Amino acid sequence: MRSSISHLKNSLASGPTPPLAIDDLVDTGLVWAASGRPKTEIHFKTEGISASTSLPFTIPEIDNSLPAKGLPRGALHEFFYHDTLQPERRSSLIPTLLAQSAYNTLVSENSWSRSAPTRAIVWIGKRSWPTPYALISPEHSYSAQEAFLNSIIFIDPPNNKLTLWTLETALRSKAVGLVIAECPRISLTVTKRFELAARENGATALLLRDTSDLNLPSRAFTKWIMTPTPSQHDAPAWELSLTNMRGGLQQPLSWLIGIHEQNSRISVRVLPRVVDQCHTEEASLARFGT
Amino acid sequence: MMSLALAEALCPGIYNEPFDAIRDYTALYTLAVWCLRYSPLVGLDSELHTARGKGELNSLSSLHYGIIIDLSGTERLHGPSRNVAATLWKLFRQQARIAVAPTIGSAWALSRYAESPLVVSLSPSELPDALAPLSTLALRITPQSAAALSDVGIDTIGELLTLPKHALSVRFGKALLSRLHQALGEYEERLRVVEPPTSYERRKIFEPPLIHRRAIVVAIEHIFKDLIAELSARQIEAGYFSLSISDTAAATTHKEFPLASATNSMKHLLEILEPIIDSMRFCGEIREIYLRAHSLTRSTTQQRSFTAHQHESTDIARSHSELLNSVSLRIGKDRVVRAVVHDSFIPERSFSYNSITETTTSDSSQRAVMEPRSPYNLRERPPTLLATPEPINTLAMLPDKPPSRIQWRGRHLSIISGAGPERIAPEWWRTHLHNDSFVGRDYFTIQDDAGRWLWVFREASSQRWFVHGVWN
Repeated sequence: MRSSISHLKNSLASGPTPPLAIDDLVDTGLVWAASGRPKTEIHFKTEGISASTSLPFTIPEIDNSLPAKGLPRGALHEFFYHDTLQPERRSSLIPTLLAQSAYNTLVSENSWSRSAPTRAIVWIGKRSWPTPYALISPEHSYSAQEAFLNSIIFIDPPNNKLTLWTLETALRSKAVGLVIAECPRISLTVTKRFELAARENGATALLLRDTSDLNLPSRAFTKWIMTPTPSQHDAPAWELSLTNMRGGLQQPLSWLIGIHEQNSRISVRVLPRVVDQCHTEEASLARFGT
Repeated sequence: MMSLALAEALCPGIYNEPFDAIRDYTALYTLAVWCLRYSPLVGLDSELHTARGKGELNSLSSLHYGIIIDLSGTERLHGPSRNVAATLWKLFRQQARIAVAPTIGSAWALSRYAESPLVVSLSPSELPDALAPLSTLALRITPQSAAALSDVGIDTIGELLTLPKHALSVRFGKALLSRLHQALGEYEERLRVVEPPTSYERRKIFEPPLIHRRAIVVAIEHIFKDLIAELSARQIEAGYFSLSISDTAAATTHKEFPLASATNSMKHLLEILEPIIDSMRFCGEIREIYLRAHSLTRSTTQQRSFTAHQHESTDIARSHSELLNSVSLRIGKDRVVRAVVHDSFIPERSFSYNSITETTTSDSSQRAVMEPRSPYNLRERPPTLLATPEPINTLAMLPDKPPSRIQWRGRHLSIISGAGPERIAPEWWRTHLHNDSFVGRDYFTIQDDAGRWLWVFREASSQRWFVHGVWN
């Protein structure tokens, strides 16, 4: 108490500090222009991160329409998976994609020394874990697959309170590059806390949240919704929409994504949109292949 | 030399086990450490030590597996050495061969070659008479030297003693003579003593007992600090700590603090221990607190490097283990896991989650991806498997086609497309391992009209349907 008062006195003695110009605030990323076109350049504080400041989806169509060519690192991102039949289900496809992308980025950051440890990926919440064979891609060598699997720490906290504690501990750790977490309902204050922790260490947080929390205020940098969509191809398809992004988003962006097979390589691709949704009985029977 | 087959034929049901020299040596060492209660100086044969150092234990004669206890000056504690020998004789259920003698050499000879299994011969003057009937091999000489002696008609030590000693040295080498002198106590022989494993522990007894919670917490923290300070001063890291708290009613609570990686960092340990100690419950009056560090490893000295990058990488490694420690201590070791892929066609057996701490301590032969497996792609296998398959009702038009309607979680879903069946049969080549009840399944990939993709199967025996996985 006494020290803060003396601090106040000192600051008063040294005279008033000059007010910050609004341009400075805009430049530091604290304030965005409310009108006009969205800021395309996003300045982001990423101390200790050398190579890149974003985490690409590795889907060019999506990455290119994002200002940072991916998800900015050192920030929170929220993912919602909308399926009324399985309200507890979270998306595992997009987190898997981002985990692979994050691993490649983290490895390339200390490429000059093989033995140097890479930052880990922490995956919190058992229900959101994908099966390990979905994580590894068959075209990689076994040692690469093993290294990737070993870089992920799966944590299954027994209750919500410990989930939040684990999430924050992981975000505050210097050894963690990406945290993927099945996130219980949290308040704006908690998201602020997580954001500060993420920014401090340059770790990225993907919060897999419940769709009922969609409209809660949060400090997430981006907000995504994925919904299953009937597909005309014989593979699953989803609609992935970016609904919110800090720095402005004139209209929600959405893509139709699906699992795409090309040169024996499995990837998620943006599919061409189909106008007719084919809900009719005949169409379904026709596709049924009888 | 008898073959094992012959031995089994002669004595049916005989118990046999491959000879493991290292294990025997370790067991003997442990036994020797136990014998430290009779004397501060307990040793093993110097031949055994040498062979262990060279890794030649397998070729060593089993005669050298013995324990040497120096009983000089222990009479006040244990009474005459005769009594100690008798006690040990009883403790080993009269199976051991024990000799008490003034020199190491004579004790060795008498314990191995005397007719009686328990020999006590105390005065040096009796020694030549006691040794005389023994074979020359009892002098710890090589079988070759013994054979050379036997060629000239010398089979016992008594016969050897009658010969002039300088001639012996010339004809049979210095080793024989020095062994003879050692047995008779004319040359000095040193004992290769065993060392007890050092333990790091702290015990505090409170008189009067502690009642206040605050005092107990402070005492525990103080003991922890004290032990950690000693560990870090000796550059030793502990894998886990065990804490026992006894109250005046003689009830003891045990608490273990397993760490994901060994550490001796005071700041880090106190940080993760504090919430745990805070959450502990104490009842009654605390009389005694006992803390012990286990799984000790020598810490690698960390030198600050020239380049900032290297420093950063040691930083990452340290915070990595700190993260694992604090998380596994707080929410449990088995909840912090690592994924391992197995070579199995059965979906739920093709992977497992192993505790991080266990896999890091085990040898590197345990690998995350065991063997080349058939490459599944994301279309064939869903990214998420349900923890347990959920039963569904189905309406299938044709026997080997995907169902056209299913009822899952109380909702009717009409299926608009599907693929299959993919039959997964029991892995007969492993059934003896699992002793399992796995029956064949026919898997189908189906899509409902909302675009939901499910992985369903029909159990071959019961014809019941289940949802096993989802694409999400």
